[in-house]
Amino acid sequence: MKLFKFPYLVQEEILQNVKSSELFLLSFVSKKIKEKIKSSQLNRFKSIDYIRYECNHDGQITVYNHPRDSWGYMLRFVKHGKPHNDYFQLKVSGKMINFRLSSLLKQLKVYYYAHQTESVIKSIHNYFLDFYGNSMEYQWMSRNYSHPIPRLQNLSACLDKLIIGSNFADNENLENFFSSCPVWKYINMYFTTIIETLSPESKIYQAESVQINQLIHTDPAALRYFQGKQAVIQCGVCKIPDLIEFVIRWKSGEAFHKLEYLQMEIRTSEIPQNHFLDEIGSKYIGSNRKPPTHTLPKVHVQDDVLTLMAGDVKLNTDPITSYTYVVRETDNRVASVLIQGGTFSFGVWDKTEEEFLRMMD
Amino acid sequence: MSSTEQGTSSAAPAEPTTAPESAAAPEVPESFYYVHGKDKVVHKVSAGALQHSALIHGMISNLGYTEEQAKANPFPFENIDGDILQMVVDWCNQHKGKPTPPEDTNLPKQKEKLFDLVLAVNYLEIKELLTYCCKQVAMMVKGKSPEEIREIWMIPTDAEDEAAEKEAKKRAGKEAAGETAAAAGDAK
Repeated sequence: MKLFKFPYLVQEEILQNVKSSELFLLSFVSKKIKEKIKSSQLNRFKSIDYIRYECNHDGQITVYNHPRDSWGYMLRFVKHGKPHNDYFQLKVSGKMINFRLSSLLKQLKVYYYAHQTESVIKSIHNYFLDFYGNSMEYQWMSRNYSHPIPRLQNLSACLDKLIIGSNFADNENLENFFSSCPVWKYINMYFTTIIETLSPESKIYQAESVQINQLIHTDPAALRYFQGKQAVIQCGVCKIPDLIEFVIRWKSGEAFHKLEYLQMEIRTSEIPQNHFLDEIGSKYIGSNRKPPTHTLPKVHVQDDVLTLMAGDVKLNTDPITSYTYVVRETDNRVASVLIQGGTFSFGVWDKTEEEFLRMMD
Repeated sequence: MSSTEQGTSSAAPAEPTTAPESAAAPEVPESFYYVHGKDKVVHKVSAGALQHSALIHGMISNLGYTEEQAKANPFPFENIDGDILQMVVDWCNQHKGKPTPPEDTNLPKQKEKLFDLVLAVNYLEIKELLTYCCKQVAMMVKGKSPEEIREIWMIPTDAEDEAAEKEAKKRAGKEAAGETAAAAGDAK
C-alpha cells in the first residue's frame, strides 16, 4: 500500500487519524513525509493547546499533548537500565538517540544515559520546535524541586502539589529552583508550616497563576506580593485589615496590575461583610438591576488523569455575580467584589466603570 | 435488498421482490438502480442504500430514471474491481437508513484490498465509509517503528526521493528539448 498514491485529501484524513506519538515517528521516515505532515496537519497542530513535559517525583519525564488524543502518552524519557534488544536509533536534531516501543502497549520510549539527560531532552525539544512550529506552547510540570528544569525555548514551568512540611529548612534550594526557570505558569503549594518560607522577591509571586494552601498561617504573604493574573489562596486565618489593604493597594494602582482573579478562602472565620465593604469604599449596583457575572478561562486547568476520570475539569474561574464593586483610580477599571461567609472573591473586568454599568442597561 | 447477477451490464436483472401489502397504508415501492464494476457483474441496489454515495446520489437525482431506464442503464464503474464494488454495495445495504456506528470492524485486513477500497470509496464519495477506511489505514502503523512504517506504507527513502526527483527533472528536460526540436522542425 503506497501512502503517496492516495489522493491528497485521503492522505490528509489518514494522517489526521494517526496518533501523536506515531505521527512523531512517521516524521522520521523521510523528509518528504515530514513536510507532508507539517503542511497537512497545520489545523491539528493549531488545536493543540500546549505540549507538556511531566516530571514525576522520581524524575521520570513523560510528554503529553493537550488536549490528549489518547489515554497514552506521546513519549517517555527512560534512563538506560536493563538492556533490550529492540532499540531503534533515530537522528534527532543532529543527535543519534535510542528509541524503543514498550512490549505490551507499544508506547514510545526515549532512552538516555544519566550524563545525557539535558542534551537528549534538548534534541527532542528542538525537533518539536521544528515539527510543531515556533508558536507552540511548551510546559514543564514538576512535582517537586529536586529535579532541575532544563532551559528550553518557549517553555514555561508549573509546579503542582508541592508540600512544605513543618520542619522545612531548604529555602535556598527551593528559591534556586524557582529562579532556574524564567517563566512560571502555575504554582500550587501546600504549606504546613507557620514560618514564612519564601522571600517577598520569590519567583512564586511572579507566576501567572498560583494556588496556595496555608491552613495554619496567619499572614498569607501571597496576598501582599503576588504579581500574576490568577490566585486561589486557602488559609486558616487571615487578618481582615490585610484583606482590606489588598483592595486598597489594587484600587490605588500601587500593586496587582496584572491581577484578573483572586479567591481567598478563610477556613476558620467569616468576613464581616458590612465592615469590610465600607472599609474598601465599595460601590453598589441598584437592586433593580441584574449584575453581570465575572468568569475567565483559567490560566492553568487541572487536567490530570484523576480529574479527567472524575469529570471534574474546570476550564473557567468560579463565577462572581455581585452587587458590589470597586474602581481602580489609575485607569477606572472595575473589579467585582463578593463576600460569602469566609470566602472573598475579586474579579477584575477589562472594562471602565461606564462600560461596566452599560452592560446592565 | 440487493441481488448480484453474473453477466454483462446489459443482462436483465431479477425483478425486485414485492413488498407485502400493508393494511393501513400502501408503502411507496422502493426504487432500485444498477451498478457494475470492472468485472461487469451487475449489482441491484436500492436508492436508499445508494444515498451513502454522494456521487451516485447526484447522478440519480440528475437523471430522473424510471425503473426500466435504470435497469437498462447500469452505472458503469470500470475503475473499480468487482469484489471491491461488492464490498461497497454490501456496506451501503447494511447501513441503509441507519446511523453509522463510530467504528467499523468489518473492513478488509489485507493491505491491497483496503487500498483499493479507499480509492473506490473516495471516488464514490461515501464519506462515512471513507472515514472508517482512513482510520483503518492509520491503525496499520500503530506501535510500529519508522522502518516498519516505511514498509507498510511503502514510503521511499530520502535517497529514493532524490533519485526520483532527478529522474523527473531529466525527463522534463528531455521532453522540453524534444518539443523545441519539433517546433524548429515545423518551422522549417
